[in-house]
Amino acid sequence: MTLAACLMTVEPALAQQHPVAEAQIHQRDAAQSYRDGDFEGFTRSLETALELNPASFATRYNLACGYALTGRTTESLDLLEKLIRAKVDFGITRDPDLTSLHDTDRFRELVTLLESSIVPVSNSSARMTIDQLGLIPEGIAIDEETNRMFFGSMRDGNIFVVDSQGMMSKFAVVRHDGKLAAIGLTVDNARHLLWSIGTAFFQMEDFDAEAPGRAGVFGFDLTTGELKHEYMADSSVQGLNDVVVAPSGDVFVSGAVLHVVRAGSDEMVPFTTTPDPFGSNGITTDPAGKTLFVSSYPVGIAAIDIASGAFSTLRRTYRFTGLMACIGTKAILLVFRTAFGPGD
Amino acid sequence: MRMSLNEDLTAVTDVRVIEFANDAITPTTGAIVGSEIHYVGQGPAPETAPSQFPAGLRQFLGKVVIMTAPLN
Repeated sequence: MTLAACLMTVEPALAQQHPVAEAQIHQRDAAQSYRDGDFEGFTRSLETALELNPASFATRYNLACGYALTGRTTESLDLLEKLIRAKVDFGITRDPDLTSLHDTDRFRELVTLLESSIVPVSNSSARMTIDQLGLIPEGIAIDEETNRMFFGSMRDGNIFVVDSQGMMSKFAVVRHDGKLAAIGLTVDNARHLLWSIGTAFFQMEDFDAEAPGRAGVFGFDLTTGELKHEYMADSSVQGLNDVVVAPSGDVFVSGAVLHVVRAGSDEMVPFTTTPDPFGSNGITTDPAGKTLFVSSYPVGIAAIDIASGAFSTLRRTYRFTGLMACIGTKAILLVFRTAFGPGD
Repeated sequence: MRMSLNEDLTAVTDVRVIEFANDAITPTTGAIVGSEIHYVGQGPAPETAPSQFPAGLRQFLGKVVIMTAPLN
């Protein structure tokens, strides 16, 4: 199973407005059934979700897992084959939910097909490896003025800083009624802040899936790590993800619901768009600060006019795009496909 | 992936894959500095989850890996 589902769901009221939103509700039910060990319920919820949003690769993959877990081998293999032929892999050889398929000839054939379709590309060099297991990093930010690098832990909410000499230390911790997962980060040199998303998430210590949502954006002094700003979303919001500071100074936040802290304001409010992007992850602006880009799991990369809130999906983007990092001085997007993989 | 956009920011005109299928890292996100991207992710997961972690988190428990790549 790929575990993206529960963070990116929308409020139930939206479910009456759009099948994608309704599908997300069923995905959330599926995630709960999975956690409860109710694989029949997990499978039923995903069948409904896939009917409502048939383009979702993640739902298709999770349903393949559901079929494998409930003994429906042929149906599981059929779904996996469609994904592999679309060059989408969620790690089928490593997923314990698919163990029941391993001894079938057809699964081995699919693995061979998958391996033949993957051509590695490598242009990167390792900058740093941290031996400690279980930090579960997500966001990264760099202060170009001091050449310091920050990254956060989804496990315990700590934010770490690596100085220009490569020395790592704890910088701050994201908390509100207990620790939160530190997710998206960005440096705001104009205000001398490090912004971090904090959200309750399943990878945290002491995560309570039944508790109301706890998600916000936190501004820490860029030198001392002292908390300077804290803006929490309504408890109905099941998760926030990433943050960007627009040239105007507005702070935009992605997640189950887009939010904004307007420059000069001291509150975070939902940022209304038409139509709704049904959850978002990566977020950035164009250099002029007129367009906000968000990676929306269900619809791809959305370009949102900041003044009006109107958005369109970028043409020629892949529907299974995952995280989007940032945009430089030119019109360039950096896009990541994550461990969660494509889909929702 | 690096995606170049058209002038009115409505379409992708070019895609360049910077890194793909690198078993050393499952990347999450990155930051651009000059002509480079620095990105973070998890290294290979341990064979078993250490006892202080739930078994279900095993796939997320790799070491923190930070990589650098040129954008051009």
